[in-house]
Amino acid sequence: MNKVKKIFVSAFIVFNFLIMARVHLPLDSKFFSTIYGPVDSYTRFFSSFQDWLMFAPNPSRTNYEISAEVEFLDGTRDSWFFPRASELSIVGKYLYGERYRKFVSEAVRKDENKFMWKDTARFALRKIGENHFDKIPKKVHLYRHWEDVPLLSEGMRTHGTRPDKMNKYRFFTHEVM
Amino acid sequence: MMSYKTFLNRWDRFFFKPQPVEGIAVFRIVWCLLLLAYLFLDIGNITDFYGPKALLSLNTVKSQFNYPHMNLFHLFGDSVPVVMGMMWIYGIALFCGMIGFKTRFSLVIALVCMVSFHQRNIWLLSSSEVLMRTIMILLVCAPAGNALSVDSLIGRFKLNPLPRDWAPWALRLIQIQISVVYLWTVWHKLKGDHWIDGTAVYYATRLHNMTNFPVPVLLDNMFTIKLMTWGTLILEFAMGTLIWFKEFRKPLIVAGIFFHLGIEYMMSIPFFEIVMIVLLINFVTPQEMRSFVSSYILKVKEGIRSSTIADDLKGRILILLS
Repeated sequence: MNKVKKIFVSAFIVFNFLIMARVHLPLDSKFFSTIYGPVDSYTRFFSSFQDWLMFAPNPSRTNYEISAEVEFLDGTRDSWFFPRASELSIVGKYLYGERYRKFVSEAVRKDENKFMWKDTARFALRKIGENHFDKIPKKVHLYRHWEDVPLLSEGMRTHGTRPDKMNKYRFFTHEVM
Repeated sequence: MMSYKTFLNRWDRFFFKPQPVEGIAVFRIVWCLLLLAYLFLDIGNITDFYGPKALLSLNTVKSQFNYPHMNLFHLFGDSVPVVMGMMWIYGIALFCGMIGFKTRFSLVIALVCMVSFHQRNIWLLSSSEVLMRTIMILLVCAPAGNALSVDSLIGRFKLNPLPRDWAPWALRLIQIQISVVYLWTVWHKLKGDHWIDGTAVYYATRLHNMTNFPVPVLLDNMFTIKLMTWGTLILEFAMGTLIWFKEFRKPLIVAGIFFHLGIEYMMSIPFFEIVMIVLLINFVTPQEMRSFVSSYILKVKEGIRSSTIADDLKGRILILLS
């Protein structure tokens, strides 16, 4: 490899080091945002920001689920849970279980992501509507369900046990008509 | 203190000293195969995740990206024919990447399609997909089609064989990236109380939607839970550091494979563990990979010699393989 090429490749190598190190620098610092401009543009272009926070600093202690309830014009109701990985086969988990888990536990439940609530409600409506062609929907409600895994000091929960009871909160209503 | 000149020499030796290309070629094949399996499973998700009736509409996604980013769906829309077409193109590109036909071009197309599918609804995805994108960019930079590929066969056929040694800077970056994944996660974990007091594995395995198969004895006993928690920290730290030393490399690759298989069995984190196992291939040295490939080709040659196919065809195949 000739010298000029080596210099360009070395610059790209250093650029990659900067991408890897980005997570350890203050994300909201104006100084780092300025000097990291090209790196941040690149990582945004490919969505390749690296934090590697798997189960860190602590694993989450909260189980989350999301359900939707549709109110029909005739007064009846039906509800649907976003697929829960724990109830899926191994194939289902690979196909879409983890995607829904991620969406439910780290995206749609958060207030900062309210931009996705309307779409989520309409998606749930389509799922519920598959069994109710003859009914006119009036409203779709979205519910958060959550449960904190008890601290070990309160006793050990056997592995593989589903929580008996989860908290429930209606966080969004979509008026269909 | 290392002098500037010594540093440059070591940098040059580490990133640019020519190495056999077989290592990255084997990785290319396995990597593309893994991505093909991922794509195959994703076909069932066209309606729910990518099409016009997907969980999040394309307009909603667009509204969140007010900066340049790679997503072909913004150009071509999200109609079912577009999604199907892109899946086909992605699949064909991965297949061509796997067999090494027009390798770099195929990998670039695969990268563009992959990033577009990922960015169609990024909120569904996790670290495994970040790794897929990051590694694919580096793989595109490597001459991964110079061995074990249709390209290399064509080169030989045209009496213009492709170089079999290369400056392995892209492979080095992949290796560093793997180490960084382990080291960064240990760094973040050390800031958490549960990793220090040995209870992290308990809480992580009580998230019922992340449970795969029940592990009744090991995960219901505080001694083994603590062992697993601290063992994870130690092993991840070793995978990020000691794997660079000759004496520890092979045992750590084996330990890493079992570690990831163990997590895969206990927890439902599809693809991340498999991605990490496949990435460990890159720590097999190019020389070891070349001797492995050579011995495999030797066996294939023996098989062809003793087969009943016509002699002239036999001769041509043997010439191509030699």
